[in-house]
Amino acid sequence: MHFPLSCEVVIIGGGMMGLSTAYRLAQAGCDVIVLEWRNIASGASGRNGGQIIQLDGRDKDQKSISQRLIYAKENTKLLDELYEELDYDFELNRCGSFDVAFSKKDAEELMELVEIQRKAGDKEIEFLEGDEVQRLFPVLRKDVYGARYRPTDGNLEPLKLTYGLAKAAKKYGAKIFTHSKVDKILVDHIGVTGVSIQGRTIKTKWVVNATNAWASILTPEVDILPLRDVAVLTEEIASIPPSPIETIIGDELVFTTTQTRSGNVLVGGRTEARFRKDQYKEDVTLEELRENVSIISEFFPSISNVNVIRAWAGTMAFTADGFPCIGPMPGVKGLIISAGFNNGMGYVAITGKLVSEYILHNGKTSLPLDPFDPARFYKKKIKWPEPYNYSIITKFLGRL
Amino acid sequence: MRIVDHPILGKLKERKKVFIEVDGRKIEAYEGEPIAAALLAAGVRVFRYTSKEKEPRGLFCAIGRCTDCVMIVDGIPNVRTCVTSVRDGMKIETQKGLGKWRK
Amino acid sequence: MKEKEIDLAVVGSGPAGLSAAIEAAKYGASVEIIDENALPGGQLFKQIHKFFGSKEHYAGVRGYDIGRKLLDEAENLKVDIRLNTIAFGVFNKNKIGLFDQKSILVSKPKKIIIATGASENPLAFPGWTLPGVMGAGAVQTMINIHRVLPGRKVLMVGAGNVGLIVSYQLLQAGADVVAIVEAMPKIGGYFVHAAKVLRIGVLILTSHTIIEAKGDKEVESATIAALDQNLNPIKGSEKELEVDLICIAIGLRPEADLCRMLNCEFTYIPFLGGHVPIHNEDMETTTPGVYVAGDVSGIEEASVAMEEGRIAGISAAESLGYISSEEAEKEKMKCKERLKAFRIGPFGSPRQEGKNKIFEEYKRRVKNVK
Repeated sequence: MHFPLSCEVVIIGGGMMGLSTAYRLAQAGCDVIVLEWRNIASGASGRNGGQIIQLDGRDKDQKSISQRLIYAKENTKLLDELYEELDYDFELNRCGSFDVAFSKKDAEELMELVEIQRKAGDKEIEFLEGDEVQRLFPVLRKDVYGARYRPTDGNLEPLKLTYGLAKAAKKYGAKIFTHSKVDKILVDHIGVTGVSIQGRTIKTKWVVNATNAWASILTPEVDILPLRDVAVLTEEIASIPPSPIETIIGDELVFTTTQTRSGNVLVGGRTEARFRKDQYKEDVTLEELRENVSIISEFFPSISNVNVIRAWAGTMAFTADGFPCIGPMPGVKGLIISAGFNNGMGYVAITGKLVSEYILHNGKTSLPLDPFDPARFYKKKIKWPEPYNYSIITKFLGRL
Repeated sequence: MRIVDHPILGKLKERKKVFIEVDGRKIEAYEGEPIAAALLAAGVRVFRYTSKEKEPRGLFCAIGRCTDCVMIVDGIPNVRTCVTSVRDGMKIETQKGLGKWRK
Repeated sequence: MKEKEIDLAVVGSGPAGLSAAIEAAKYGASVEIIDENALPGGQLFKQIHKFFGSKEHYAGVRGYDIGRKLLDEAENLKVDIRLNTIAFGVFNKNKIGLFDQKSILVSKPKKIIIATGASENPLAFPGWTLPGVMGAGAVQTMINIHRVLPGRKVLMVGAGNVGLIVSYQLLQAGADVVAIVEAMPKIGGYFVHAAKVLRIGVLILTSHTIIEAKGDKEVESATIAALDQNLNPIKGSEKELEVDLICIAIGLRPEADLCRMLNCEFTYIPFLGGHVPIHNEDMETTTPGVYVAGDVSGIEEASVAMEEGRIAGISAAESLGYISSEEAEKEKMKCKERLKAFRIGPFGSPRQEGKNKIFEEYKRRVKNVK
């Protein structure tokens, strides 16, 4: 592997965040390299369902909603622009998204949530009655009580998005090295001096840790929690329609589905991994396979004969307040963290912009990085619940 | 075309006949044989049309691997006709693209 | 989900799988064979021609009769044969997920033998998706098992054993084989098979290939052309043949997905079909307790499949403690001797070379793993 002896910026992690940043930096003429320990999009970027759900979760805090909205709106604008800019069709489809209520209680909760969100400045979110949801989504089972709906949400192909970003970054001169595992980020008393990889040293003044679920390995001072999810994929079928559907049932079951442009239906949900060490397993157990497949017959009974062709698991990441960490590490000049993501599509465009701005304009960014300041978790020992899964974590974060 | 007489396998033995419907047309088949065999015997080789280019497709591997032979069977699309046996009264339709799921 | 514990699970009921199950059951192991097809016997039941070789290789017996003999032997030894059951994956290292068209079952064997055979290689050319272009194996199934002729005038692509045998069987079924094209300058299959079709007047064109298949909704004609030394079509040599069936017989490749799920390591041996799971002479792969036999371990023939199956079955029984190492060695040696005798001559020695490469690779990898 012919690594350069030095460069301006080293980005560790070849997922959509790292490559989004690499693209912006290279476009601005920066000498940037990306070091990916496996292949491009091997982590969450290539394993998620591509759902574009602008304000995910059921957070009721108006202030936090308003704040997220600013970044969400900007990300939406930039993502649409990326669709034009990148010479790669990543199948962006703004077909709306549904957060479905299967009980009267849930429907009331969603109605309440929609009111809060609208008060916080979200003009697009609406509450739909059960029969309206049925009309828009006829393959869903009959006992729907309503749904939270945003018409401008939708889905895209995350693998293609990541590849598209990589291709564009390379076009502008970025160098991407796969199967290149960084051993250590090298620092002196001021800050970053380089990275150590395969016995070599690459000198640099900027390092971006964009390794998401694995971020704590290279930067243990920031506690980023890995979380595993399982997905199954069906054969191609006619449109059901493609919009992502999410639901939470009795605080226990959380599942999400969406349909790709080619017609495959993706179902994400029930995972068994409970302890931190198990959250990185990318194999699927037979029980998990069966559980996810049963979601299809439970919620889309008329397509219960559909063939399932693939199953896999992947690991996303959480932080203790649900916001990712995007920004400089205190006390280590030149070290930027870009990790803690579990809603990639909601952040991919804005993250690339803000991190590249920070590096190019000496800390000046078009939107403040404060809500994502890694310093808020610097050397904090977070009391994560253990064991944990998606439901437990989102409840812990107050987002269920 | 059915091979009625064969130098090694001998004469076609009498087997129970069933009737299947293919795009509305009644076709004779032998109980237990794969749908694809019955269709080929009746001279039907086009089983479906692709989504994008609307191209005709039919039997290719006959071993349940390639999914080129899929048709809509009793309302369910994407059924591999080379590994699915006929049943008396089965309704088979030429699949156009991804077909439609019955509600 | 129902889980069943068993000594040995054999995936595939072809000649390799049946032979393996018979050996292991002979020594007292509890054995289960799993096969996704409605009928057992793998490719044997399509082989209506007589086998040749030694007595142990059932010389003079037709393929389907060999299949029947093996099946009877297995049933007499109380081997459980699950048909219409697909092994859709291996999970948690030793749980085989099975689907029998009704529900999911789980097999928890102590040892596994993968004998899943091979699948045909496709060949892409303009018009290859037209109905009427099929694998030669597909055609063989249709004519010999289902007694259906998928076309009347045939172009066969490939003059290896499969191409030659299926051409002959098409003639027996009443079709007209217009030509056999072979890209290489020599016929790839045994002369015995080539002679049978040549005698009837079928044209075998070496250094030729198919350029295009034409037709409105189905195959109506095929364009063939001659090839130069670099295997490029020679302009002006194109000929159009009126055919309604084009068979592709350009080789097989191991169907080893279950081996991949079991984390077996692979190596690439073109002469044996491409990517093959690495194994030793006792047919054990780099994953301890997982064995392979037959075409899945390298494309050869039914006789080889039977011997390899026997070796795998004996090895599994030995590791389960049902037979002593000395006796196992003695029995395996008999099979290995017969295999050696089968892998000689212009057709056999390249296969022996291929297998030797695999055995070397095994020694290299397993030493490292240890």
